[in-house]
Amino acid sequence: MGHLGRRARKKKKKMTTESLTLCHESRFVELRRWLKERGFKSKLLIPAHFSDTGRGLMATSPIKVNDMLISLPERCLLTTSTVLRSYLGEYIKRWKPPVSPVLALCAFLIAERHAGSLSKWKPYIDVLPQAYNCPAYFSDEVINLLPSGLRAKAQDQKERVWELHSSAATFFASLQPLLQEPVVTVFSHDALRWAWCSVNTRTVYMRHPQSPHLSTELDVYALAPYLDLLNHCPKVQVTAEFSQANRCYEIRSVQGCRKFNQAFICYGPHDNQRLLLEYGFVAPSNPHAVVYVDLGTLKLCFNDWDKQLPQKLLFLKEHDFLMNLTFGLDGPSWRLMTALRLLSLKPEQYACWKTVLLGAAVSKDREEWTTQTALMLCKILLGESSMALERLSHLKQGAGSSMTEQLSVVEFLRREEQAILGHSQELLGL
Amino acid sequence: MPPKLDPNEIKVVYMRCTGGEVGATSSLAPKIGPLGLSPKKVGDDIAKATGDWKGLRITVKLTIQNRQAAIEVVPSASALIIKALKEPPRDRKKVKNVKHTGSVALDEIVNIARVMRHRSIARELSGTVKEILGTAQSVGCTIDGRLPHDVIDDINAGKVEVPSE
Repeated sequence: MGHLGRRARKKKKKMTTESLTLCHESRFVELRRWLKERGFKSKLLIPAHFSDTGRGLMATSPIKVNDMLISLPERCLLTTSTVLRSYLGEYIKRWKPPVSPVLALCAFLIAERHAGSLSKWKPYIDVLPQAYNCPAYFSDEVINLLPSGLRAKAQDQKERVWELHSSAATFFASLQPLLQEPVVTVFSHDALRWAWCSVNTRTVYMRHPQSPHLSTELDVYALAPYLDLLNHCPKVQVTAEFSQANRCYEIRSVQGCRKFNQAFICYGPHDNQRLLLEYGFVAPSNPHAVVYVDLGTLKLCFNDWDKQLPQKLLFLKEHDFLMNLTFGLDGPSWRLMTALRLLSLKPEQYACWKTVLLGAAVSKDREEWTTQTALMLCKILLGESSMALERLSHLKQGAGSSMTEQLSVVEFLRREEQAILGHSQELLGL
Repeated sequence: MPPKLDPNEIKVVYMRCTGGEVGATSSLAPKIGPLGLSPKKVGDDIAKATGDWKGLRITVKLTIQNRQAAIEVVPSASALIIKALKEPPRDRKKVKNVKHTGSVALDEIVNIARVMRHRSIARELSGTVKEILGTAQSVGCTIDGRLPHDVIDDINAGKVEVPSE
């Protein structure tokens, strides 16, 4: 093999993702210095900007299979016990009924951000994004572009933040002695939304014992500085846990990572809709990606010809077959096909309802009918998707920078969705 | 609100099935269907992954991450012993009431005990070996041509040495 020519070199450069280290940036210098004081050093992973995923961590030397990726000491973690030990602690302990763990973390983040240069956690607060790409930040017109199931969840998320803000208003008011400014301006809805999204998108799972000063909600959150810079990739595998032996949060890589490549972790086996809802991004070529079929779409395929439809739907609901009906990368899911098969049955075939749910085959013409209906569903969803994309391109003209970012995430989700549906259509058409 | 790296997102299902055979979909559907997997596909995957255990009843561990299943065989003592007998593969449907009258070397039994070690509650390896010998008795095979219970007595009397690890 000889050396590559100029064109091949250029081509190779284009193919691989470019990375640019951010080590020299003052906020990362500060963060690394601050972490070093708390007993954490990382030569292996350095912050870098990647052309495809944005900010991430780059491996400076090859990581072997089953090697430690990162090991963050307990002192660096921000958990509810940190909050209870801080100046906010006594206010939280005094408050009845006890606040939820999430609210405690949010209040701490807001207070620390407000304290500015006086804050002990300033280097960490500084590297947090100013705004997030989660549905909580979406305007109504962007939410309307989402697939129907996700739309409801996105609305729900927005409302949840509003509700949290209004229900916590009295608790925030009790924090007035800590502040010079009126509490309403510091603990505003905007600030809470930022803190809530920080907690939601950046915490790692860590089980804590139930604290008597917090509500009974499960307390499994830990904000992990530096570690939360790791990006998600659905294909990698990691093992992560808090090691009781050396009191560190440890992540081990199962597959290893090459030198100067981005080190990834897997947040969990989530599909793209969930990733967008909780973390504000969509993963390309996600093996878990699916398109959900909700009841409204399902009903579009059935007219009044079937007198038994209400009973059938009730039967499906009883056996928990109306949830999680999907089109995936390998075509329509078994659940979707089984549900459709049941819906296809003729009135006189009442006796075999139960066996159909267990996977028994039905007659050939019913089978054909099922495939046809699945194709129809596919077409309906595809049409809906392309209509949303059309509206999206209208919105894109003259949108602000944050709006463009949101729209591009939604567009990506819709495009992935179309790819899945197109593939399913091909499979069914054969 | 889901924190990242939640270990509870991964579901584990144990199933008992016959190695190398595609089970009936109706037996898989109630367990796997609710998790969003296709019972037929999983059945084929199980048959493929258990090719080494043709015709033996074994327990299979399915690790399910959001509609993707990884399959792992959890061997039982009796399955390991029958495998060590190296009997010709039989069709379970045609041959009934199979008698296992072969002979296994004691070294093999010790190897099996090592595999089962972490699942046994015995304090020492010799205890696990005795457990396996008990299973061998119920399977019906012999150890180097002797009855399993004679070997257990020998181990108790110290006539047969079992390595400590």
